[in-house]
Amino acid sequence: MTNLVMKDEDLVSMGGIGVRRDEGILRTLLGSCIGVALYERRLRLVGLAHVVMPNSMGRTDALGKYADTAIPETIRQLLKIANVQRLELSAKIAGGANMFANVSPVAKNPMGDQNTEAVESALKKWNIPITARHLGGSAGRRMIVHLPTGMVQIHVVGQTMVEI
Amino acid sequence: MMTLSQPQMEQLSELFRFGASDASQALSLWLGRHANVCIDQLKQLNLEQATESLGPADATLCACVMGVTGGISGQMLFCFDDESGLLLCDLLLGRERVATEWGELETSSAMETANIVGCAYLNSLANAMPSFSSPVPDCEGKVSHVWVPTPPQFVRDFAASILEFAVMNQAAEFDTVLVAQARFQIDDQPVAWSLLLIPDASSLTSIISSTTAPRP
Repeated sequence: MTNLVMKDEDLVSMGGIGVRRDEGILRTLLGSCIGVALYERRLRLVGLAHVVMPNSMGRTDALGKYADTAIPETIRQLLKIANVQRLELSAKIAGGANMFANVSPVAKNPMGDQNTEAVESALKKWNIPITARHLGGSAGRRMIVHLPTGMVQIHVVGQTMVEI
Repeated sequence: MMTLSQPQMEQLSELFRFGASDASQALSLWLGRHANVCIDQLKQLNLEQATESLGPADATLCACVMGVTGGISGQMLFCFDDESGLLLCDLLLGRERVATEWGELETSSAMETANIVGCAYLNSLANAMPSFSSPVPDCEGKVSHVWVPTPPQFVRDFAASILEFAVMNQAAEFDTVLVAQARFQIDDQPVAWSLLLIPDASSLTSIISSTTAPRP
């Protein structure tokens, strides 16, 4: 199993944002981070943000990294590639695992839980409904987002891939 | 953005190399073979590079993960792919390549190895960086410095998911992360095991400050 990135496929790295129109695949690997897929069915648009931390605390240097800045920045990039003023978005979110409960310094308030809460709060603020979730647990995930359908596949090592 | 100068990187690399000799000795004793732990270098990586520092992001990787507390805090990871990890178990158990999957025996062997190599490495580093350690007298009154690892936790997961966890604390503060990576040789042959030490953000800041302080 390797990083076989196809011509019509983009790998979204830690703290990154990817956007696509019409067709193709966006993919990311998650642990305690959250993958936020924003889908615009009518315009066949999708954005995928890999959120690392809950709050930017006012930082503006890495917008994809934080829940409160990643959502508006993904929306901004989607508006730009569609060249429209308004989007009707829905969201699917995955990740937020607590992978190493025994060795994590924030085991009492795991980063995965903090990220989940912050992403859900940010999506609510932007009135974006969450249509599917695949969250928590102790394992990492591969999140694969397909265009034009908006279908999201989740792969956990040792398990069958599921669709959400 | 935290950027280290070349002299700072060299100075830090020198410090981290102190651990290698003791870790090599501990691994040799444990395996009953000549083993060498080589600190490649310190790497200052952006987040994308960091999550791919042990290979492709999607590759399945095994890791024994330990938290580190004491003088510094952070994460230590003993990582390998399936084949290399199972080879380690066969070496330990004196078998001819019989392990094909991770059972209880194989997992325990890997974790115990991580524990032995990791502790030897940390003890050496703690003594090399006494200003980051609490002095602990032994029964003969000789003072040692210790950093304390948590018991290892074994995981088999995507490489990027494991490394994402390990660099999370530094990533919260900086856009680049500093990783000390060691590689291994058994009987002078390279094996695909890696030992990563990733200090958390506050420890890293302290360590870096110490490199810029004037030396007596």
